[in-house]
Amino acid sequence: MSRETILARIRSALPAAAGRTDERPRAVAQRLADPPHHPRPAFASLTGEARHARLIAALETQGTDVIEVASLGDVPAAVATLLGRSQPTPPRLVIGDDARLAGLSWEKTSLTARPEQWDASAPLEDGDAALTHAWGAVAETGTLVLLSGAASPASLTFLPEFHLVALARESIVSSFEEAFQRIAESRVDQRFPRAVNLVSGPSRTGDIGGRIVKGAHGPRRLGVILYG
Amino acid sequence: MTPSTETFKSNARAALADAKLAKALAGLPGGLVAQRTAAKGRVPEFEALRNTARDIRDHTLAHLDLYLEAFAQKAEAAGSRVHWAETAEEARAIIARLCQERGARLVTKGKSMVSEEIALNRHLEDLGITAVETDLGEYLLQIRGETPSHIIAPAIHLSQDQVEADFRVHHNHLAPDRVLTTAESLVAEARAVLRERFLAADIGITGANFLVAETGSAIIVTNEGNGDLSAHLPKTHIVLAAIDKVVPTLADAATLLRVLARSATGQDMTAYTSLLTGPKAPGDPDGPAECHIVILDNGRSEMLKNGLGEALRCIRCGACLNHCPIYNAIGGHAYGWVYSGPIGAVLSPAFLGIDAAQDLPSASTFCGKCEEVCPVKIPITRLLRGWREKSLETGKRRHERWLLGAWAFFARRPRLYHLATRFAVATLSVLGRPRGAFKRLPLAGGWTARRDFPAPQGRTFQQLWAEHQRGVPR
Repeated sequence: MSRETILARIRSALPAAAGRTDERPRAVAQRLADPPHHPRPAFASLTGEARHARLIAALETQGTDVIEVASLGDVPAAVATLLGRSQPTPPRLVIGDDARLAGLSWEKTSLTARPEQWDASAPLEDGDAALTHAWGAVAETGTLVLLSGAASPASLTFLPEFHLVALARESIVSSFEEAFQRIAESRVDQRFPRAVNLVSGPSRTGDIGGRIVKGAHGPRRLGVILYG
Repeated sequence: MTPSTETFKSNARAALADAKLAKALAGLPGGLVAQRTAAKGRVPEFEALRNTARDIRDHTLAHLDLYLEAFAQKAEAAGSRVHWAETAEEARAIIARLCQERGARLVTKGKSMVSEEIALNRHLEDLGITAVETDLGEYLLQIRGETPSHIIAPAIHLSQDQVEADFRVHHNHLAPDRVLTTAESLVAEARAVLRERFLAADIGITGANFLVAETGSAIIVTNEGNGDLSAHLPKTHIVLAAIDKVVPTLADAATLLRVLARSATGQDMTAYTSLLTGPKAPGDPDGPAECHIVILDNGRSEMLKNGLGEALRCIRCGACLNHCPIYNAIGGHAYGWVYSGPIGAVLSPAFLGIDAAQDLPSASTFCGKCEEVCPVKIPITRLLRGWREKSLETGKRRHERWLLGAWAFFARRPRLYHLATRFAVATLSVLGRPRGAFKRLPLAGGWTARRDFPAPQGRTFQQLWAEHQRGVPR
């Protein structure tokens, strides 16, 4: 068995693994059960207004469009504004199966096309826009946290031309550690969803002549509607 | 790929004469180097983060067997299948079998240096399976039949004109009169061509930046989103990762992520960082039905045994390449194998044997910039020095050892040394008097190839110093 051979080779390379000691297994079990608290930058421990300001500044630095609104009900108007800024205007707006988004009223917006529920069997066309709801965001780097599942399928995070993300103000966390811990706590048996997508800006590449171009494979534009 | 590490000297000479390459590399100091400096400047605690990152890697490597076992157990509990491969051949066979069992014809690939290391594409191609590279840089290399010249910017040696020419030849189903004069238009074309591939692929193969023992997850970091499209869309996702990719916990991964992108591209965070745990769950509308993780050794446990464990700290950011005066002059291909730059000069002899890569450890001025910027503080110059010693002990560089031995014989006998140098200097002084310099000298071809060797004035430094001490006026 290659597994046994590889592990045996590693053990023979580690002097500490030679003795009949249970010290190493104990150290490993301890670290896994109680993860370390490593030093983090001061900007990863902000709270309140400072944390909010850091998030907005970081999002804008990456080239993400941000609109702040008072409540969830204001999201459709903000979506219309963001789509209106996009040239050409995306032909379709597809939304994930999310209770918060399903309850929104689109009648009063300037949108000509009504949002469509995403159908997993029909792939998005290039040019489409999608709206999903984020689990939260990490303020230290302006990173959106999206969990795979019906509410924000990974397909809607990566396939549209324009990805719009609704984000509740109360779901902003300071650091990656805090995000990971909170996700684990919110899950049955602390089991992670299939994908936790940490998104920091639109898709980009520097592979042609070293110049940064947006929209390599994923969304060319990313918009965040921060509510609450 | 077939290594050409053995001919490093002639590779380097050819690279230095390549004007196109020089032009492509000229942007490095102003680009990636300046961006890293700026990113580091925005984090006052950067040095502390580097120390922590180093300690995390050392702790993991010291308990590597246990963390790998823990990772495999968690990954399987999450529904992934874990496969172990001792060698490149075994990894290729496992992946080929997974593809064949599923009748796969088309595979999309996220960028993976390990897959380059095991030459996976050629193997799949031989079996009639089309493997498409989807990282834009890797895609360019694939259509040109080239190999990466940089760890994170694999096509850094290519200019925009070259890309346009290649697309016109390779994408011959598109209108010949289309305009492709901007980087944007080239990216848009690649996006459209590869989008079809993503949607049609049977299997997606990616590498992993980290494997998290705590959760059994693979972490994939990309700016383009190609790794994610390869991982999320096809029915089967195969992760290929080496044993050194494991980290204990998500808290450890958080620290490593804080130094990775900043060191690599100067971004605070790469656009997409995805934590993938197992296949599609009940109720998930998308995602792969199966997730396989292939864990590869391929000589790394030997490195651990042979005192090269510190090199396994590497998180493949490429900062040592960007900052290296040698890399900046010759680019990545001259190094002759998958991994280039300072870290490549450490890794290639370990993977290929020092006899096949004996000149690589000399591809350094020992300026130490690589260590200064390494996010996990790998002592690269010390490791290179170790390889230099080994290369002198064996193989074709033995004559250098004899020359050093001869020098040492004289150096340990001061009187003999003074006598010999006095004789040599006097002789050269007489011979060189007519011209004042030598155009050619035996055993000094390396010097005289580029400049004259000035003729000595008749006395050695030791003699002059003795006169100076006695107060003889000059």
